[in-house]
Amino acid sequence: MDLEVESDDFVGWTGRPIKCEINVLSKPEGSCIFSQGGTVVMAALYGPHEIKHGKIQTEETPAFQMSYRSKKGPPSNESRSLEELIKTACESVVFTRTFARHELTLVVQEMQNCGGILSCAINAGCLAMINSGVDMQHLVLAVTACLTNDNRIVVDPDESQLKSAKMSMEVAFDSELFNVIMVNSQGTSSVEEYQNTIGKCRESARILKEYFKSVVKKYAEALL
Amino acid sequence: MDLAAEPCFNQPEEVCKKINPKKYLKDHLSQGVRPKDNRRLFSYRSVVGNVNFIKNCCGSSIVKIGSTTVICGIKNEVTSPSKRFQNKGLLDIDCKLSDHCNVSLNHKNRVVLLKQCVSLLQKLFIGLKIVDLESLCIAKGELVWLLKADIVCLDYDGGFWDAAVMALHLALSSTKLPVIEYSPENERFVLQENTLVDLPVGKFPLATSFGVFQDFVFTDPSFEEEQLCSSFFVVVVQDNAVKITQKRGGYPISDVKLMECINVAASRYKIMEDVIRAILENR
Amino acid sequence: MIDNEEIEDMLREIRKNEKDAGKRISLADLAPQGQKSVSLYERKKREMANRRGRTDGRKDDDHRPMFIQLGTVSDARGSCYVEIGDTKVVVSIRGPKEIPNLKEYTEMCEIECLIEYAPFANSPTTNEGYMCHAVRQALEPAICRHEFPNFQIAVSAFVIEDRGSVLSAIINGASLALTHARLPCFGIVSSVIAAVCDDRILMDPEYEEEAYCQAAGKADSCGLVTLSYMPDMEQITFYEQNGYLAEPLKMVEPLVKKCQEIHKICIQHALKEAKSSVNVLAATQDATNSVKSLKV
Repeated sequence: MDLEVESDDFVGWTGRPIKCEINVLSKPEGSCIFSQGGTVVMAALYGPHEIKHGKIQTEETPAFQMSYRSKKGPPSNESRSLEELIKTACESVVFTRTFARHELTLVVQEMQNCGGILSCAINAGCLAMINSGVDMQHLVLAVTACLTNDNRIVVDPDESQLKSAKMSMEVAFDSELFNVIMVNSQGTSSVEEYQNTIGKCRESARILKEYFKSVVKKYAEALL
Repeated sequence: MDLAAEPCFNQPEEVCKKINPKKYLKDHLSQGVRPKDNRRLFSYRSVVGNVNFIKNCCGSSIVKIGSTTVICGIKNEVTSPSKRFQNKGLLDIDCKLSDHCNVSLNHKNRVVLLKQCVSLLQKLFIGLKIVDLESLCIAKGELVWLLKADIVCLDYDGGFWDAAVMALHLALSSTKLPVIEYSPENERFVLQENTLVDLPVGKFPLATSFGVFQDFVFTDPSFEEEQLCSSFFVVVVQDNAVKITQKRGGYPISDVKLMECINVAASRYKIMEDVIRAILENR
Repeated sequence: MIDNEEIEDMLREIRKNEKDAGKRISLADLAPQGQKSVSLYERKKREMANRRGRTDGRKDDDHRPMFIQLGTVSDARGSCYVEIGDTKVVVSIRGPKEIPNLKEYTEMCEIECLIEYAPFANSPTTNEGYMCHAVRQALEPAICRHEFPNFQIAVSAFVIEDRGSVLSAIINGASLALTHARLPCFGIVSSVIAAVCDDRILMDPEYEEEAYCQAAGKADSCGLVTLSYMPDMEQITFYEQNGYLAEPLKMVEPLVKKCQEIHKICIQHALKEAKSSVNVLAATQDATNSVKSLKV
């Protein structure tokens, strides 16, 4: 069953080519392998399963466990903060009221990092959630962008572009109103430049949504 | 109605707050005011600061935002530099909450809060070169300064990030390091205790945190508000330039709100810069 | 752009530095030759040997100026900030709350004490755990413990800067914080430390004086005496002696006298705070009364 979808057909996507395959693993409820250019990430979602003794779920914060495995060695500060960002972005879209006293576990494995790992991981997490059939309020679509020294905005830059950029940001949008769920930016930019970059990211997120749709469509056709 | 007739309802506001804190906050915010201190959505608590009040540190500061109190002390040590960066000194930043802080903050939340804060400070001060590590070099490949900056929160009432950034910047700006020179006749480095030089520090970065509660966004949340907020949006500005922004998950905010936040943060910079200058001149 | 790897590298280097003590270079090693490493401690030693006055120009029985502020910590039940000279301490009181995992009925209220030193303060001259024990002993007789069976009161102290006499600062602060917390007490405890060297009695010693008197064992009598006293009941709540003293009982009288002096200062501050809080209460009472009289 060939479930691979490529982004070549999507007019307007200015970033690196996207490739993805869902339902790659048999054990977890949902899984996907997602790549943007050279950056490849694998995500798997387990659950909902019952919460083990001792943990209590509060009314609104879902019991959502997340582990991000980086390619090399023990978790560093950097990968821990990435984990926290991915976790908060992904858990905010889950419709948790429907499974009280149950928790979800999302595992994201970095396979290869050529820049933009955070947005890639969030997208992979979202696709894994779609694949598992967990109730979601909306999708989460993440885009990386950077501002080069000559004030050009590059959407989905590669590693060398990121290194030389004066500002870089990762933004995650919801798929309904395209409001900002998560934003993480670092570097120097003026307020207008900041606004323009977010605008560009939003445009790309709209295309990304179409891409996600086509993935789901192809998967549904294969199921039939 | 005679209020005294029903003793448990003699303070109806308090009761409402206990029963449904979210509605209580929402009702206030939809009227454009905040509970407890009657602030507007985009107004701040008062800021007080002082520097160099700890004698055995080479730089120290205390910052109070409302009743949030943060102390920062810097100790200096000398060490040999790392092999990869021969001409760069070391700056170790650490955050801590003292026992006085609100106990209802559970352990896991504390650890997460502190880790996030440390990584923000590292990105800001080291990554964006507010302190140039090369200025901490005494002799290339031989001797560099190791500055240990410890930030301690004495009283936690929300807005820890803002206070921590301000405290660290004040402490670094007030840091005075003794001169160490190589003396050829003794063939060793000699410390000149009495000649002190200022540490060159970049311009003041202003961190402003916004609480996101449902559709509402407001500045400088207090602890009570912080507990109800689904997420925070932290903006660091320096001289009209946006340096770092961070929002982690939670309720999505619209583009208009986001830009409003950034403009609010940027428009406060001029005033706060004067405040910081006044604190540093007063020492 | 931010180079995250560079930051990671630097942190790794710092952690390595902490473990590897051989790599560390102390600032004293870099002092110019000739006047090599004349630390404050050495200076103090000479001064004591020559029987001259004290470094800060005080007389032997002078106490350093004190600064007291009640209600520094906003969300604690009671709190107090004490400054003795350059020594700065914040004390806060929480509770009474139930003792967790209680096995059997405890008739008296427990006092839990925690002392924390700021990372940038001088390292403590006495063990923190021991200091906790001392504070607990000094306060226990003063609190009406029988009123709270099965409960505990938590006293936590944070030392911002240690320039000597920390223990007495904490005891004074804790006792005032108890009054600020409106917990029933028999009286306010005040405490004083004295450093003894031969026949000199130095009240309220500085950090170096403390260190010297604890370390020097050669003199005839040498050591530290801590006393806390409750003038309302005319009781000594805590007495501790460290080192060798020729006539220990001779120490008690001057220390008690000093405690009474400090007690007067403490009482003033406690009264001032109580008065202002009564005024606030009266004001709110007036406000509620006027609201009632509106008869909506």
